[in-house]
Amino acid sequence: MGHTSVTSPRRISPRGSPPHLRRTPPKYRKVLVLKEKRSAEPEDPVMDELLLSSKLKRVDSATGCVSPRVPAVDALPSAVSVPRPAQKAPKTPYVILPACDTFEKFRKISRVSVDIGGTLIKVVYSSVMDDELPEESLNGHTRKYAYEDGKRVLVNFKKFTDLDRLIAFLKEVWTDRKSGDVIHCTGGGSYKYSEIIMKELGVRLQRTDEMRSLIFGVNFLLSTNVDESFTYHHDAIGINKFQYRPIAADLIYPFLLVNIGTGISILKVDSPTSYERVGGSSMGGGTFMGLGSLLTPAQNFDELLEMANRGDHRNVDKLVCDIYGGAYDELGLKADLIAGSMAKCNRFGEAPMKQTHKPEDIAKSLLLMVSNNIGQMAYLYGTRYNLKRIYFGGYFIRQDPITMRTLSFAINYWSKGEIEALYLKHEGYLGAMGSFLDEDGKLDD
Amino acid sequence: MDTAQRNIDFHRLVRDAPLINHICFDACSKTVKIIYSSTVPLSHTTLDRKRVDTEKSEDRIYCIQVQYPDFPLILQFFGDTCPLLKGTTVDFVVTASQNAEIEEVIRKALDVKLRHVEAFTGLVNGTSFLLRNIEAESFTYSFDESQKYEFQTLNTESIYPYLLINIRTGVSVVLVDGPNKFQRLGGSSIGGASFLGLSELITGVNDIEEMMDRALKGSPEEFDIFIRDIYGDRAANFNMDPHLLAASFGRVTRAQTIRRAGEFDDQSKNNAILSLLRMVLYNVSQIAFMLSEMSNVKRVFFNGFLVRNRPIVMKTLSFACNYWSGGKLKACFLRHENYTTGLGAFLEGCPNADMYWKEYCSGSTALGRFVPVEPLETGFKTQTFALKCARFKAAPFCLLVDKDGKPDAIDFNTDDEARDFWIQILDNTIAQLTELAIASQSGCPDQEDVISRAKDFEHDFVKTMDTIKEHHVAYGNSNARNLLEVREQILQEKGFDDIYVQKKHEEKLSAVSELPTVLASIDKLKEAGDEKAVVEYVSRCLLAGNVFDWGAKEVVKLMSSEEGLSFQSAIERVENRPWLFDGFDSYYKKHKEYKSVLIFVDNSGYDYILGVIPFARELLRNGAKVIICANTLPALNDLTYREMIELAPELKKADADLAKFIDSEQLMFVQSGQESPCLDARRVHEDLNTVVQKYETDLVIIEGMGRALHTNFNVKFKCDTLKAAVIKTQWLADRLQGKMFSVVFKHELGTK
Repeated sequence: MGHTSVTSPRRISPRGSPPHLRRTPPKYRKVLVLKEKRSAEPEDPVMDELLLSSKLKRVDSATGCVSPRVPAVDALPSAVSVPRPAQKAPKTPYVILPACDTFEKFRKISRVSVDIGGTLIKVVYSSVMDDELPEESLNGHTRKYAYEDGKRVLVNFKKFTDLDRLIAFLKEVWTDRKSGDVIHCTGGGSYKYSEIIMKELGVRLQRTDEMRSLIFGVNFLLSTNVDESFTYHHDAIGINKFQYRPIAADLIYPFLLVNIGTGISILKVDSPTSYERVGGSSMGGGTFMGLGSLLTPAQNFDELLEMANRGDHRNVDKLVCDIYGGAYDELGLKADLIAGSMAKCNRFGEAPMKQTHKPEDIAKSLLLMVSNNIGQMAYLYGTRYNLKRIYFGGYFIRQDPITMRTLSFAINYWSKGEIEALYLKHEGYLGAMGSFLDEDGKLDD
Repeated sequence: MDTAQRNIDFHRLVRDAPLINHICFDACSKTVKIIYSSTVPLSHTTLDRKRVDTEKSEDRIYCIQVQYPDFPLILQFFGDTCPLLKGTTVDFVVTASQNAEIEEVIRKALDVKLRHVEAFTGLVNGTSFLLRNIEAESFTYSFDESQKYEFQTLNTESIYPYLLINIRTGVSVVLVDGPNKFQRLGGSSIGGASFLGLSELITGVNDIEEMMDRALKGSPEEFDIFIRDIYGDRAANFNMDPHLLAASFGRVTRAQTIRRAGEFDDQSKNNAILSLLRMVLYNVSQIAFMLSEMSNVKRVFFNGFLVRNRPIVMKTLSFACNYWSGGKLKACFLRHENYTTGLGAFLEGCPNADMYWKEYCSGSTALGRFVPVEPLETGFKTQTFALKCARFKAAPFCLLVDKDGKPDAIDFNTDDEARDFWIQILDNTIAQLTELAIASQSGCPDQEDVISRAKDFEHDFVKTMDTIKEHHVAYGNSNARNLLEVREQILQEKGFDDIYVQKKHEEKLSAVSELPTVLASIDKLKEAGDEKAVVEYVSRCLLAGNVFDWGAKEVVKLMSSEEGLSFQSAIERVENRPWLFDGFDSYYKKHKEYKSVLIFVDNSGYDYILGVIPFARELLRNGAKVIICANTLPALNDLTYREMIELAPELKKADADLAKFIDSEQLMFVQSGQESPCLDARRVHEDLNTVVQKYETDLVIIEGMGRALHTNFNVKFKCDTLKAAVIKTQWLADRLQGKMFSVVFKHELGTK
C-alpha cells in the first residue's frame, strides 16, 4: 500500500509555487505541448528554472550541517535580474566546467554526446562562452571556471523525442565537426541508430558503456556541482519545499542509484568504477505513459503529468478507509493509505450501469501507483544493501511535486525515516553526461 | 438456472448437518466461505456382525464455499436443519465495512448472534494450521509449459519462518515466525483489484474468469517493451536476457499514432490483459523476493483471490520468483488457500485446534480436494473441504533423517504406469470389498441400510478413482498410500469401521493356538546351540507371517482355497537365501548389539502372532527392550493398537518368557497414530516419539509391503533399520526384478 497524496490547499499548485519554480500556467502549457507535437523543440521550463537556480537551503548530506541560504531570495537574482551577461547565458540548462587540464581541450574542439533511451534522446554538448555567467549557475561552487583568456567552457543539456529532430539540431549547433570527429553515444538506441547518426552527421561514433556512463555522470555532477542533489519536503512552504543536499566528494560512495527511464534500473555504486545492477522493474516511466495514453487523452508525458496534478485518485483507488471504514490499527495502516490502486474501477460484473472515471483521476492514480512502487523498490534495495542515500535519476520525475512527494513519502514511510530520497537536478542527463566524459568508449565500425 | 433445475442435494453438500454445533462465515467479494464443525458419534462393528454405538465421537470441520446468489438457500437449509445452532453466537470474519446486510441476513435466518473475528490473524493462523496438519498442502508449480505440480508436506517445525503474500485488493506481505507470531512486513497497492480495475478500464471486460481466459490467449508483444527492443539483438552482450520485460506498456507510446483503449479489437484486449497480469504479478513477486531476502526466509506462499490455483497466475509467479532469486526461491501455493482466513478465524474458539487434524478426503465433494483449471465460479459448484480431529498431537517420527521427505517409493504423479496399474487393481477389488463390508454387518437388523451404505461406499470410491484418473493431482500426491487410505476413509464414513474384524478374529484364534508349537521349534534349535540358525529361523517366521495378507490378491486366492494356507506351508514358500534384498548377514553381525528395538507391525493374526512375536522374543532374550507399534485405527486386516493390547494376556498364557517380558515391561506396546496400511512417519502419535526418545531406540524394524516397500523403502533413519517384507504382487516383483514371494530383508545402518 502506498501513500495517497490527498489534494490539499498546500499541495504545490501551478499558482502556489515560488516564482522561479513556477510552472507554466496550464493553458499556455497546452499550447506549447501541442506545438511541440508538430515542430517546436521540447521545452522544459520547470526543470530549466530549477537547474538555473542556486538559491535553496543547503543541508550537508553527510553531516546534516545547514549552510545559510544565499541572501536576497526575495530579490530573486534570476537570469533576468543580472544585467548584462545574463542575456548571453543559454536559455537551456547548462553547467560550467571547472577550468582544468582535463577540460581544457573543449575550448578548441566541441564534444557532443547522446544517450538514446527507450523513449527520449538526451544530448550533452560543450560550448565556449566569453562572458560572465550568473552566480547561481556555478551551482554553489567557488572553483575557478574561467581560463586565462576569460573563456569558459559550458556543458549544455537538451532532450528530444525523435531522432530526426536531434540530427537536425546537431547539424545546426555542431558547426565545427570534421569527418574524423567522434560523437559519444550511449543507451540502448546507440546500437540501433548508430548507422543513421554516422551517416547523417558524417562523424564517427564512439559507444560508451551504458552503466559506466551513468555512474560517470552521477559522479561528475555530484562532485562538481555542490547543488546537484536536493530533497523535497511537501509540507514546507514555497521555496523551502526544496533543500540542497551537498555531499563532500570523498563521502559520495557508496550509494544506490535508481534510474527511472522507460523501465527502471537499480544500481549499487561503490566507486566510480565499481558498481552493479542489483535489480530493476518493468514499471517505470514507460508504464505511466503507456497506461496513461491508453486511458486518457493526454498527448505526451508533461500533459499527462499536468493532468495528474488536477486529478483526485480517491475516485478510482480504494483506500484503507474504503475497506475498513477507517484506519486498520491492528496493522498500523492509516485510513488514507491506498489499499488498491485502480480498485474502484472494477464492478465485479455486478452493477450494469456504466461508471465513467475522469481521466485526471486516472492519471493521478497511475502516477501515484508507479511512483509509490518505485519508492518502495528503492527502499527495499536500499535496505537490503544497507545504503542510506538513494539518488533518483532518469527522465521521469521532472521535479513534479506529486511524484517527488510520493517517492519521498514511500521511502520515508517504509524506512521509518532512516532513508531519504535524493533528487538530481540533471536527473535525465546522467548517462549523456557520463558518456560525454568517458574517453574509453569503443569506436563503431 | 434456477434451484429446482439444479436439484441441489443439500444433505450431501452439508455433511453431518443436524449435528452442527459451531459455524463461521467469511464473506468475500464473490463467494461466502462457511466453516462449521460437528461432533459425530462413532459406531463399531462387533464380532457377531452387528453395528453398535461406542462412547466415542469424532470432531469434524467442514468448509464450504458458495456464491452469493446461492447463499440464502444454504442459510435457509442451516436454519431448518441445525437445531444446535439456534441462540448461539456464530463467528463472522470482518474483511470489509459493507457487510452489515449479510450480517443481518445471517442473524435472521439462523436466529443467532454474531461475533466479529479479525481477518488478518485468521489468515495467518489458518495458513499455519493447514501447513502443519494437511498432507501435501503446499505445492509448487512449474514455470515452463509442463504444468507440473510438486507437493510438499511440512511439519510443525519446518514450516517456520515463512512469508505469506496475500494478493487481494492490494498486496500484504506477512512474515510468520512461529505459532501466533507474525508481523506485516509491507505490501503494495498494486494487487488483485488493480489488475481487475485496469483490465476493465482498458478492455471493458469485468469478469475475472474471462480475463484469465483472455490472458491465456494473449501475447505481451503488443504493449510491452523487452530488452531486445531497446538493445536490439546485441542484448546478450550485457548478460541480460533479450526476452526480459523492460517496461510494461512501454510500447504504447512508440507507435506513430497512439491507440486509445476504446479502439481495441479482441486480440488487443487479450494482449492488454496479459500485459497487465504480468505487470502486477512480476511486481508482487519482486517485493516478495526482496522481503524474503531481508528476512532470511526460504519459503514464500502466495494466496488471495487472484491466485486461486489459476495456472497462468501460478506459472507467472513461479517464473518471476525463480528469475529474481536466481532459482533460490520457489513460489509456493496452498491447496486450500481459499479457506485459510475462515478456518483460522473458526479455530480461534476451537478447543482442539492444537490437535492433529487430518484431511477427510472422502468428505469433499465430487470436485475432490482440489481440481486445477476448473474455475470455481462456474455454475453452482461449491467446493468443500473436510477435516477430522485425530484427538492427539502428531509430529514427525523423531528418528527420521528428512522430516519432510516423501515416504512413498513410487510417486503416481509422475509414474503413469504405476498409477494406472493401481487404480485398475483397486477398481477390480471394489466389488469384493463391498461384499465383505455387507458381510461384516450381516447381523444388523436393518440390512437395507447396510446394503445402501455399502453401495454408497462403492459409488463414492469409484467416483474418487475416476477423479484421480482424470486429474491425478486432484488429491495432492497420488500414491499407493493415499489411494489405500481414501478407501479406508470412505468405508469409515459409511459406517464400516472395520470390515475385517471377524476374519482377523478367526485368524487370531488359530494363530494363538499354533504359537506354542512355533516357539517350541525355535527353542529346539536354540538348544542345539546354533545361534545363526535360530536368527535365520525367526527371520523366516517373520517373513512367513507376512505372507498372510488380505490386502494381497494372490495370497487371498491361496487363503480362500480349499486346503487354505498353513503357517508351515508359508514358511516353505519363503524363498531360500540369498534373498532378493539380503541384509541377513549384516543384521546377524549386529543383532546382539541392539538394546532398544521398535517394530512397526503389519497384519494381525499369523503375521503378528507367529511372525513378529517369535522374532521379538529372540531380541528380548538377548536383553533388548522391544516396543511394538501398531495402527491406531483399523485398515484392511492390519493389527490395531486396541487388538494388540487385548492380545497381551493370551501371549502371556502361551509362553512363560513372553509373560515375563510383558510383566516387566521389557516388551511394550504403543500406537502409531496411523490408520492406513502404509506408514507415513512424517505424522506419528506424539506418544511414539516420547517412548522412542525415552528408551533410546537403536533399531527400527519395519515389516510388511505397505510399510516397508510401498512406503519407507528409500527412507533414511537416524538409527539402524531392518525393512522386511515378502513381495506378494507380480507387478511389484517385476519392478524390483524379483518374483512372487521374493524376500526383502534390508538392513540399513543409521545415518548419525
